[in-house]
Amino acid sequence: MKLLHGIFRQLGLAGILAAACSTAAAQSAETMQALAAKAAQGEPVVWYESSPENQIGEVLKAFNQRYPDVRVKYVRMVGGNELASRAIQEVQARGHTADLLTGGPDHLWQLNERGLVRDLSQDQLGLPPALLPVNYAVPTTASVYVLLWNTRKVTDEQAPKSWDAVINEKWTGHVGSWVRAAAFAQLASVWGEDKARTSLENFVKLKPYLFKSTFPLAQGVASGEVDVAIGFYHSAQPVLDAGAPVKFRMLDPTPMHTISSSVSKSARNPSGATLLMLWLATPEGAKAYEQATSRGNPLVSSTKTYEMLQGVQTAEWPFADVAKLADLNEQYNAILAKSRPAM
Amino acid sequence: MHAMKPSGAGRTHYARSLPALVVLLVLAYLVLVPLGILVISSLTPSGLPFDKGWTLGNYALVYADPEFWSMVWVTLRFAVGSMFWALLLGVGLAWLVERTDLPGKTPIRVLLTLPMAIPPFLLAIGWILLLSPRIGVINVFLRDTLGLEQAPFNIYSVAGMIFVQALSLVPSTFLILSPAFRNMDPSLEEAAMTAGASRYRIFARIFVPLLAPAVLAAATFMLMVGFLVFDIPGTLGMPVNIFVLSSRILYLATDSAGGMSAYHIISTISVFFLVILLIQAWGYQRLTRNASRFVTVTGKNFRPRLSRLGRWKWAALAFVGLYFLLATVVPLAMLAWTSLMPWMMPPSLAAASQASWANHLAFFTDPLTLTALGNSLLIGVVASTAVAAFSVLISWIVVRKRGVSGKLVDFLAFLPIAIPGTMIGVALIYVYLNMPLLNIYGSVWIIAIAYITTYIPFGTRTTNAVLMQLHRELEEAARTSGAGWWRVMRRVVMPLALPAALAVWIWVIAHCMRELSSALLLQGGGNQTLPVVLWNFWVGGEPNKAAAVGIWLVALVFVTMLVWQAAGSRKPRNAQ
Repeated sequence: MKLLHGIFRQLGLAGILAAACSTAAAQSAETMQALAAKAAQGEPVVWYESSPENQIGEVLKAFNQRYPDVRVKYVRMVGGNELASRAIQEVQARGHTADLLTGGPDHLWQLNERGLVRDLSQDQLGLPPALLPVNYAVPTTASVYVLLWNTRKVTDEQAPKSWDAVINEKWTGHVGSWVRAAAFAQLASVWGEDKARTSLENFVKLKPYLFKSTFPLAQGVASGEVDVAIGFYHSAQPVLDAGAPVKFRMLDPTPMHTISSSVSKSARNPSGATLLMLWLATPEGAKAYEQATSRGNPLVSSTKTYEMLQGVQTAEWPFADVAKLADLNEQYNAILAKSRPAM
Repeated sequence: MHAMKPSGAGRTHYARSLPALVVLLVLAYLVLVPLGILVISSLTPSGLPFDKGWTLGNYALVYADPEFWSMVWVTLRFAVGSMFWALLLGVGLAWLVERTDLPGKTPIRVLLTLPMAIPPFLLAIGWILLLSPRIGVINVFLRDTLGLEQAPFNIYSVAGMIFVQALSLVPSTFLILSPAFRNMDPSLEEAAMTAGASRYRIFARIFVPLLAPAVLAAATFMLMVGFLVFDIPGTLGMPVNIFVLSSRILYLATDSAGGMSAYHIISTISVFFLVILLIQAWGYQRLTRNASRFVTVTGKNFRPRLSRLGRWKWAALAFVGLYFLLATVVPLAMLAWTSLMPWMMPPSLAAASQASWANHLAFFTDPLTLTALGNSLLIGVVASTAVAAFSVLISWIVVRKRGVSGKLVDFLAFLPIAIPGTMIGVALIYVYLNMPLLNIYGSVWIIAIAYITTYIPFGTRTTNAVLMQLHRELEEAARTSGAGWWRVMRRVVMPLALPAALAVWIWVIAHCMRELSSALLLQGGGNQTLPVVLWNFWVGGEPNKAAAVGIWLVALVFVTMLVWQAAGSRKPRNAQ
């Protein structure tokens, strides 16, 4: 039964991806031209996102090649929580915030609950359903979980090939994790809550080293501080690019977090914000974004992430279940927080 | 002498009260606004002060949770432990430098304050590369050499956190205590020696009481820093799930589930800090209530009496050298190593072949980094100058007006230490978003204001201790000679307080160069500071670039300290 469920899920995802890709490439060129003309008349588009400035600089260079008259001011918000909190504070105090807000489903959901983001379903944007999973957000990229290992400490053969192999007592004190248990919360969408919880409890028994962010986690693998770790594909790229003794593989199922963009209701250049958001979801925009940040949109066929996830069962709660995801994150983070010190 | 008219007397009284009034108003603005927002935040369901609804539920949620109290216990061990060791080392070093004939004092003063320039989380990373049970160079060496099964040291522990935190706190302790040691009147010791008092008796009956305000000030300050600092416990404790309150606050701000920073919990925990602070402030007030007991600088000229070290000179130099080695040389060497590498790796001959200057070149060619450097310098100079000047003024009011107004000013000046940088950031966002006439939101000036508020407690602890040692007779003599308030301040108080003011200045600028939590929250495009860039490199997977920035940050602060030392040495040690 579970096998069938998995096959259906994979087929379903493939169908969604195919449908998204076939329409995304042609997503209303006329609409975008009209938006560009309007956006060029307005103020610079203020964009809140979490990627480093130099990376977004590359993205905006590509955007401005296509739309040279639309100006964008980028402000980095490290961590999605800051994005939501800052946007709410700004609206409460001065009536407006950034034009375009890019974050996780929980962050955008918070903003939507407060009525701070636009209802995009009324805008006739011509987006396929996969690129408009809820009426206020367009998926623009994703963070995909991978297993990382240090090749000087662990051979390719020894490196876990399944989640059961990760949760093996031989990795006790040698495994690393992000300080959030978000991977297990996403796994619950495929495994069910009980199995995900039990797996997390067993993982906690391995006394994992916890890292503030998945980037230092990848560095921890590279330095040999931990032998194996559950990290993100994109945050492993800096050490891989630097030639560190690190390899990665995706486990089955592969948890991921889709990151989306929303247009602020208080946007002072809504056309510009909508244009930038739509462009990020085009093959050109998605490719430019992935090349700059290593995070790609699994719904757009021009990305490596799309190719990487072909035939892979992903684990992610649908956007509509964001409240459920938030609840699980809280519960699972508390379980991870109960892991005893490794030494 | 001339008789004053009643109206003139009124004007004089008004003029004398004016500074206290102005200071009180400025302090109230700087301190009470964030404090008010913090308290309101703790009483709202989301922690956002403008949100509807009031609740006491946050207090029940936080204080009824046994985990909170176990975290308090860990925090207490960490804070008291690091305060104790920092104080022990700081007292020893301040005594050696100020009251003995230790050779090479001028360079030693600079070298002892240099660790302040190293951002604490980079200091912690340096020690991970040395004492991590798995990859730490010292551990690996000892394990391999002695054939040990387990690593002898574990930096991922409360003891490891205390060790690194104490090393980083010593410069602050040294800077608070040095002026007090310097300003001790040797005639008291001489009188005691003439009367045949033993060394122990002189220490217990003269040194301890005279230094009590400065030592208590340092202890109070270090203890609160221990409660609030997150860099070192976050870097060394979090990997093995050891949370202190401050690292928990960071976690709640950035990693809490649900998509929003948990400001309601953060502010409720901060109220606990306020209670701790109130207890400390009360204790400090009680212990220093008879200010005249601590007066050592009077109208008489004196030079500090220096103890001869004799053959202990080399042992003393070794002690200073050992501290410098552990607090600066070793972690800086680790930083330098990391800055030359393409990814994080422990030092080894095999890895040395991969060294390059790429990360350093990036520092000088990246416009973002250079802009951040300019921002940091501007904010640092403005904030440190404002804090130093304001601290002397506040302390003068506190010491000379020992009444309710003095106590109120003193208390207000100490309060910000209990407000985490994150909450100061939240408060200032609201304040300046609502002040369209003062359009500083997103600029460097909002960060400067945050720093002035944050560092006033340190400034006033240092200058309070020194001004308590100044006898009123100097100012009275000046007034008798017809000097007005400003002239007395400029010609008498300021010169005498200059060593302390300079110590505050250098401490504040060094800390502005590395402060992160407020700057991170208040960044808005063009106002990024160097620590924010450094932090972004770190969390963005470029620790080697972060290390390169750290190296140049240390170099910058080192140059600043040389200038400070040069400026300080141009003034007489004890102005007359």
